[in-house]
Amino acid sequence: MKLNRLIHIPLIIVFFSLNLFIGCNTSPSDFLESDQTLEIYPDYTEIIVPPNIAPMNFRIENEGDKFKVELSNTKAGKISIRTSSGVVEIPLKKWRKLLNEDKGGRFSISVFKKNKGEKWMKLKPVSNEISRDEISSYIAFRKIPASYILWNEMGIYQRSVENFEETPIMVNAVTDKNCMNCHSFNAGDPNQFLFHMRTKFGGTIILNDDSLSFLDTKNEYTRSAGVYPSWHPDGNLVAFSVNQIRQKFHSKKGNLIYVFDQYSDIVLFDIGKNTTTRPIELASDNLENLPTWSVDGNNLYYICSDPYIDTLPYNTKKYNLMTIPFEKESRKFGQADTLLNAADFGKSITFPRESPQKNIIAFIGADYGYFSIYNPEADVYFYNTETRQVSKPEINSDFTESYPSWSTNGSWLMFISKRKDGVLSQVWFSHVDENGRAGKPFVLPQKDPDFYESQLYNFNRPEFISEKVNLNPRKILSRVKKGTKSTGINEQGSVSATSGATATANPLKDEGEIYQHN
Amino acid sequence: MKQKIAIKIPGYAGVLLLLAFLVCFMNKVDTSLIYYWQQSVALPVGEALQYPGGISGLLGDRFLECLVRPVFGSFMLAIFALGFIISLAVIFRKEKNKPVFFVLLSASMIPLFFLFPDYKFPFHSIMMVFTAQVLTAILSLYTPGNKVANFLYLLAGGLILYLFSGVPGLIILAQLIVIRSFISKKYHQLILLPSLFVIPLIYLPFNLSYSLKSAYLGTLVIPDYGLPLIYLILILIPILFFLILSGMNQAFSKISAKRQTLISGVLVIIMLAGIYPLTKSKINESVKNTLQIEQASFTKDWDRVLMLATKLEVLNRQKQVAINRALANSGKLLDSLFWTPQPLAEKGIFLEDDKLNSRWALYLSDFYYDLGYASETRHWSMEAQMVLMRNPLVLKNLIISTLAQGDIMFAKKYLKILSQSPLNKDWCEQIDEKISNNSILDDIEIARFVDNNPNRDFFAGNAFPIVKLSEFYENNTDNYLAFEFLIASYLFQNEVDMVVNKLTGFRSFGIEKLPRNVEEAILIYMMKTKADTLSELDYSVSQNTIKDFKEFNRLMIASKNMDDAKHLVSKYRMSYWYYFLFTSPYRSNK
Repeated sequence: MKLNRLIHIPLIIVFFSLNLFIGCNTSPSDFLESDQTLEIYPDYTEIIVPPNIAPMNFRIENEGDKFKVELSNTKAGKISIRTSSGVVEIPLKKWRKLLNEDKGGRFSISVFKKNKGEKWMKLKPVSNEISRDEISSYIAFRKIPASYILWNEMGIYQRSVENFEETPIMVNAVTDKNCMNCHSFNAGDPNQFLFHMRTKFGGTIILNDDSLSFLDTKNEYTRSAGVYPSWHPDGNLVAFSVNQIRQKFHSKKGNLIYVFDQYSDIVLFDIGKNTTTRPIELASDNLENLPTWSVDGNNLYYICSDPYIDTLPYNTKKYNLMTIPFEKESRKFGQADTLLNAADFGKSITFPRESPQKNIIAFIGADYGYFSIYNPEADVYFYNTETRQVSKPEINSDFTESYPSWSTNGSWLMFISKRKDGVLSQVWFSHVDENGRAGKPFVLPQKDPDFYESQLYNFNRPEFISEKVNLNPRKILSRVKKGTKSTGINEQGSVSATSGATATANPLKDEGEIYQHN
Repeated sequence: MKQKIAIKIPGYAGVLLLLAFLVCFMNKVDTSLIYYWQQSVALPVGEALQYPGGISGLLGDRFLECLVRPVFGSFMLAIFALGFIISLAVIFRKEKNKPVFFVLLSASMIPLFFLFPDYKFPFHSIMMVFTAQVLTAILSLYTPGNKVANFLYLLAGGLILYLFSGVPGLIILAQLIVIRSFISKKYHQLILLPSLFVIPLIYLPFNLSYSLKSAYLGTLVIPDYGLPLIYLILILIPILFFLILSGMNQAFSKISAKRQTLISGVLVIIMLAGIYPLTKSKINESVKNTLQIEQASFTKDWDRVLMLATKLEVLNRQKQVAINRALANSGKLLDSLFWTPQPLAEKGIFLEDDKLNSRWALYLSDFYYDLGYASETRHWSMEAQMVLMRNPLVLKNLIISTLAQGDIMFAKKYLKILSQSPLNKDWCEQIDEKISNNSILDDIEIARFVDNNPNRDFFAGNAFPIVKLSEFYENNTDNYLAFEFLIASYLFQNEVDMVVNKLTGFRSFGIEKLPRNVEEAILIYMMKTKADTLSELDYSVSQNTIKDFKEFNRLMIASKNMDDAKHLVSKYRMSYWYYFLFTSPYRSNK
């Protein structure tokens, strides 16, 4: 009994101390105004934030022994936090309330700092806009360490944008460390999803509502399995590029690696019929690549370049932005048209994605090639489909920007950027208004504000999803173990493998190294 | 009382003798090689807690840093072994007065003698057994009286053990339950066993990245090793201990104290006598030699590499690469290239080929580091990082090469990780200070990389490393190491005309007297082409070399066939002529 009392006494003291601590979480009444501006990491200042974003935890970079932080909206909502480490972790519920009660308004971050033996000082506060536009609640990305030939651990993960929950959709730890890539959704629908696996357990996993299939999309007509995918909005077709991808390593300081195609075409895969069609319009001698459907499904955008010639300097390889009309009923393509000529634009065009709302095609402009993740100069551009004008949003950095994609409401642009360290890519968001103006971008919030300081993974191909994908590695593994199902060919609508780019570009001549398991 | 003393005297003596033997033995093993092969910056606690056995991995990485100094390392391993047997003693504390208790306690160390000398056997796995045994010992100190409380107590213990030590932890806890049941004759406790092995299933929903197989076998089956018998014995020590103790107790119980002392003493002596030849055979001198050579080459101790190379029993590719690097860095490459046989030719310089893995990538990274070739150092360090994610050697190469390429922010990320290793903290602080002072380019190593940055970009594929080296040299014609390796590559490929073409290079480096192997190549070239190359280039071949060449030729002419010739000219086996004619894989082509 005595022992129990002894245990209880400190507990009571701790309990009351905590209450006292929480009670003290108000801003100091006696302080000096400082001319020092508040500096926080990550930079969550002067941005437009979605009302449903996860708490934007940050670290105060200004020096101080103690800090009191106040986050307040214009409706008198307030969150107070005390910290001595400078790390600010915002409670989820309070954060959600703060944003939701002032949609369309603003919230400010005020910080009081105190050094030992000095008075409290109030730093110049920073302010952010709270958008009325919600952001899609989930994103999916591949996490992979930076490497070129070897690989080890990787996986495709889904992350709630509204909190910090991250779960794996598939990881290669369960499939003998194979390679997996090119995850894709039909306009963010978690029930229509696909990705590829290479080497061991090679094939394409396709989730189509309740049906999970594992397919071998390679056949004698296409020479390569499907690579870069795009779901037709109707959900029955997937346009795939078929590519022979190679890589070379730069020697001089600056660029690290050059990834290129020796050939590429675009094919259509019919999910219901399990057949591939190789339309003649997209199987020319040229390098057709990176298909992406228009939002209405009546056009296919893609990029296209002249055939690969190994004697030409690598930095002369440029891709045009193309469009080709598509007749849904007959599944026939019309006449291809060049939307944006690389020669006129002065840059190679890659990763086009049409916005669901605003007649904008976001794309990446790079000095050469299409695999822009390794081009430090690669930036995000907007192509206006009505005015046919190109603009460069003020969201770019001196480092690589790549892989733009749109939220389902078209209000949020997501892209990857290497601006934090020049080597590893992170997920960034920017609000795009009805006039196509993009707000200052911000990085995907993490529970630990220093997360990006020490993590060693690239975030690849971020894609918005409207809800959580109901898949996990164990579910996928159980399907994968049953083996792949072969796919057929729609011979009537296809040109044979002995014509078109796959025939003229010699696929046997290897110039670079293929990826290799470690 | 007498009986207790009878048990303790030989027991304590046995334990102490075995510990002393372990210190000496591990010193002979060279504990620093365990560190060299397995070094890794420990994960932060938060990350380590996320997967089964993670904490043991963290502790293992921390402990490995103690092994970097061989003598201290041996001592620390003995302490480790002592901790191991103390935990066992705690588990069996009620049996301590039984005959042969201490003898068995000493014997329980034996598996460690077999596992430690295998430098590559993951120390994480040994640490899992250690932490499991320590935690089980702690759990054994208390037994709730209530059955339900006991069940919950052991289940909670099982969860902790699973997180700390993975499945080996559950197996060791299961043994505790079995032993307790048999000692107390309360067999109903065995009902707890199935619930213990449900724990991995409980864990599965919390980590969707784990399959059923990895939850159960991920911490038990070791990559490249499987489940070796000796490791299994280590895990099963408590139950083996119990069975032997019970069995021997029957035999000893009626023997007098004096005889017990005698028998225990004899058993200790037998154990010590037996362990010596058994453990000695576990020291694989060839593996040790290879690792010592690699270790010395990573610490740039080139004299030690060459000294160790004289003890070579088996030549493999890694050793050949290390020896050639040592020769080059000691300025002896083109004078003593054939000091060891070079059957691998240029593959003894370059490791790029189809069999790449992270370990080879690390060697490659270090090779290009020697050359001062930042892009390739960085490229191969990043490849190495795929498996050796937190290896300090990889991180250091990454830090230097990225700093040389101006990627300070990225280098800082690696510095932050490496600085978590107490061994490397000072180095990181020095680099960090230079970054802060804006004086990083004054660092000799980094300045060397910056100077060697090619003026012209070219593609450094890994299919043709000699072409890459040639391009690199053409871009940095003042890089003597690159020049030497290039000449060595041509020599290896029997491209004597290419060697002659590059002779002006020696002049540009101010070398008046050509290296011996180059002279030998020139004489072959002159003999083949009848050209008076040397007078054109204003170089001369030393009289000694000419004299030897004449003698070599005389012997060749005098021989009956190539086998006979090989025998006759064997005194020139360290010459280029011998390689050119007899051991070069290119000899049939030229």
